[in-house]
Amino acid sequence: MLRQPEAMAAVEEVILGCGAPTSEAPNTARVAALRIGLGEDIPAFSVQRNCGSGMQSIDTGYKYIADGRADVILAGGTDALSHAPLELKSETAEWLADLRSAKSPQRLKVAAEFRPRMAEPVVSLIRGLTDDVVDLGMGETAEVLAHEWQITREAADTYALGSHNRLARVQDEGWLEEEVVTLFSPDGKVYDRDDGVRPNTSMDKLASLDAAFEPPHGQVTPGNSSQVTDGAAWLILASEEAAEKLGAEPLGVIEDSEWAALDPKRMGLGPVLASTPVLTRHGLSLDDLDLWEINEAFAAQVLACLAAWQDKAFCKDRLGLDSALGAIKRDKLNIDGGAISLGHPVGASGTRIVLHALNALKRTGGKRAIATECIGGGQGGAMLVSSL
Amino acid sequence: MADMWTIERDDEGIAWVGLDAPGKSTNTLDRQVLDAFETVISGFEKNPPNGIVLYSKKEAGFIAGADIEMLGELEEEVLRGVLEDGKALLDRFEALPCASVAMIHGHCLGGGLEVALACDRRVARTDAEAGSPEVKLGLIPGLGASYRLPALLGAAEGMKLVLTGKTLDAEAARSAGLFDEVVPERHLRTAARAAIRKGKRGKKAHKSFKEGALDTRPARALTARQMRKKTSEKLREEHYPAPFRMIDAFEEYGVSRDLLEEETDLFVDLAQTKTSRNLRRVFMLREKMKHQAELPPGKLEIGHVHVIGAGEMGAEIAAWAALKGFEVSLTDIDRDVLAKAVQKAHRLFETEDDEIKSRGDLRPPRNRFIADLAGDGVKAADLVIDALPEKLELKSDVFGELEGRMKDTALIATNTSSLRLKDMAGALKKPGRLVGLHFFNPVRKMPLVEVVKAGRTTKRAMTQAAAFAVAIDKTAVACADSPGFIVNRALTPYLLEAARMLEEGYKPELIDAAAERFGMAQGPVEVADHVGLDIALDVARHLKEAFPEQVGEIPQRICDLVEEGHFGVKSGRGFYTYQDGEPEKDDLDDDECDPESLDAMADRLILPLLNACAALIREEVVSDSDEIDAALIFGAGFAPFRGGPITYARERGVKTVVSSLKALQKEHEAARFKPDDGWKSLTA
Repeated sequence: MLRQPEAMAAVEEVILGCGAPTSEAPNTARVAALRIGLGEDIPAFSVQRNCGSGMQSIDTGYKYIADGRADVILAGGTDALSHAPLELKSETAEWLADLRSAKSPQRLKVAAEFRPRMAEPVVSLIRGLTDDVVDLGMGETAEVLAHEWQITREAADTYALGSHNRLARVQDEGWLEEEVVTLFSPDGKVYDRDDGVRPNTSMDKLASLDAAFEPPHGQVTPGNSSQVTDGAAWLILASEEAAEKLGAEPLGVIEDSEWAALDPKRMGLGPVLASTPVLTRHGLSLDDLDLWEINEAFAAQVLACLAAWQDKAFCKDRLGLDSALGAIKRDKLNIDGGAISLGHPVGASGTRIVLHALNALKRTGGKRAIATECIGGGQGGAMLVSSL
Repeated sequence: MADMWTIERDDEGIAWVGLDAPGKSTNTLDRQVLDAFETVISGFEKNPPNGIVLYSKKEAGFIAGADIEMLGELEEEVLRGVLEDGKALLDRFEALPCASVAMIHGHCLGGGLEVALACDRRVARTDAEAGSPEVKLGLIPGLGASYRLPALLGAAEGMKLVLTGKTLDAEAARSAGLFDEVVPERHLRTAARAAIRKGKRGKKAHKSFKEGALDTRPARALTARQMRKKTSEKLREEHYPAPFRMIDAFEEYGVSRDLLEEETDLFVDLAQTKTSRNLRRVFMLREKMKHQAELPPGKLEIGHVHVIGAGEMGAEIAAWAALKGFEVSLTDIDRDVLAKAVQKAHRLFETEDDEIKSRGDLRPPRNRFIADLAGDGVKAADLVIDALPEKLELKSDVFGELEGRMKDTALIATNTSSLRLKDMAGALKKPGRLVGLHFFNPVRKMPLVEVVKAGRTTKRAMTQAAAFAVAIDKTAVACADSPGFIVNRALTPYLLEAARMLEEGYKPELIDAAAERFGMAQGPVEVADHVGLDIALDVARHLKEAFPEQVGEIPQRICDLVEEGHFGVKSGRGFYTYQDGEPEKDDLDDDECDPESLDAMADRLILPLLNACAALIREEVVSDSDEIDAALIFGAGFAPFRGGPITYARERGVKTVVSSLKALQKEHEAARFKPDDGWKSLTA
């Protein structure tokens, strides 16, 4: 609001991705729009596509503008997973309802039906990160990929270490100052950076962690998984004409986007399925892109994506290509770290990786980047952006 | 006259009686309103309706109380007549055979509450507030509240409202039993009708049987003692007699019709006291200043306020403005300073906004307050408030930089205490946009803001800045860009004199006692600690440059304390040592507190203050003496019952003041007591 008052005054619609809206704000977008003082007459809606929510909001806004339905849209993503509520089990809820409606002589009888297990809360966060259809937690899907693509624990930990080192470097260089807004909490604490980064971690420390999802033999640990955090990001989207009229300096251009779906058990390969059609449409090879942002849900999952592009059979059978697409160079991939080091506030991550791809292009002088993510439930999203 | 009270009978036979006092924005009670009400009541006596709903046709509220100006104009016997007639009228209204309901929105105060109390029931809108604030004007209720309030709420609760003058919001009034129901506008008429259907309420002298049984002379003596003790913790009987007379009457008569009789005599007596006359004058002064400064809806061109500098003052100004409805961004180069300011702001929101605990982030002040480390808010701001450290070079640099990013129409207000606006204006391309908004510490408590006009300040800047001050519930006093403006100029000689007396060996407790005996809200030693000795010293040094004679030598004691880092309350030690913000004071022996010597001490403190006020008039720093009175009362806690420094000087006699100053000048061989030439114009 404060940075670009003119552009904010021109916003016609607000679209916000949110993976786990709180019960007070089911339409998180509207509540957020009103709270930032955007005006009662500005419509707002929320989108939910799990880990793809924050990219879905941009994609919807992008298409609205492309269709000529709007000129300026505020699109973003958010989640406050530290606020995810504890829920009652459904049998507990039924028991409470019976107790409330029971007439007094009945009440004691109903009350006596209480069982201790009813007092156990359901942690909605865990429920949300579990795929009920295939009955697998997100971490378990990463175990599936690690097994199928033979990603070793050491490779995953090495990747995770890199994520921390890369993020620590950009934070120290101050390259995120434009991107990260310093926040202050009501109790007077300063949050000037994502605090999940562990610049002092080492292979030994990472190796010492136990498997988080499938102990004792699993290999996906808290150290090589993304961190469950809070976050939010916004982008102002505008047509070329509107941006010019507002005298705004655009960060870049959205060129294309794609969504794909696959077996929920292998949701981690979503980036491969979503990005490849974009590459094909634009006649691009993996190496034609200057930067890649693949959301780091799990180190094993990112590495599985890389392996899949190098696998001839997979590229032929699943992507309909003649041969393997090849390798993405590590110095083009997630160059400033990712969800493993700075966190994965589910609904915000999609917006963040698009924003960061644009900022990183600007910094490195690159031309094109793809931001892509795997999505719980078996989907993938990808967005091709270019610098100006 | 006919359209003052409108009566509409509905199909249920209920008479809806609306009051719309002609030529006023709020309903107040005066003779015309009461005379016309008599006609209404006579009509109902002849032809009673099935019920009566009393309401106000004014947007602002029900009835704000008696016409204060009228009170001042009435002769003693005429006043007695008005009160007696008014009470008889309310008795007749109460005796009507049908049920009556007061349908209340907005303010329902003083005489307005007394009219509502004569109804069987009170149904209020959520924005309503009720109270008997008469003691704040040195009076007691005049139309029966001193009897009807304790009868309805119980002696303890009812008397508390009368003795403190406290105003209750709608919810508090309901839980006290003053309102029967509180509903939003959409249900107000339905609720009033439902209350009529409940019928007439039986009249009882006491809230309950137990209350009645306890209403005996010995029981009351005990209660009265408690009340006296509580009241004297806040007020001195010799300065503020009204609540003490009220307690006497309660002890004598209890909750009875006799109390109702006594009320009139007391009211008439109290209305003649200097205290009440001065308090009413101050009240009207504040109202007048508010009306002068406020702008009609839509004319205030300030929506977003950007505050630069998140130190003590900047933080408080920003939080207060957010609380009062403005969009606020607060910035500072030091993130830790900003973080502390955020914490303070949220504490303020929590104490001032009842709903914040339950609704948290959804409450407006939280949304309107932005901690803006990057300082981006300057682009959106209509008003930029400078609360930077008092360094001219720093301020000039910042002003020059931010003017390039500001909106064309945006104003800059500086909260400087010791610098001159004309020096700062040089850094601006448009010096006309610079105005002073000088707040007082603590902002949440101090009602005054000095609105300072520099040579080139535009009229628009002055008008908008003053209207902004009023919009955040402050009293705005305009003054010229003269060192120390009004309050610091007048207060500094007083504080310095106190420091000199300390050096001479007077106990700080005794100095404060002398000033408090005079009627100051707080003694000068404590005030200096609260202001901050570093700040007081800085102001004094700047003032000394401009007015060396009147300011005199700066006592070494202050310089030493500042040197040692003892700044007052904020550092835990100044003249006093502080524990949790409270000074550690020694008790004074009775023989130390000889009235004559205390009065002499008070003279030595107060007269230099008065002398500086005379200079302010002579130098035309303010346009009239009312502004000085208001500034010193609202900005420095000058005894309000004395009507302000100039009114006090006039009441005491300008000649006497001048000769007392001369005597002090001789006694201390000090030019600082030399009577200012300004007294000459005041004598005339």
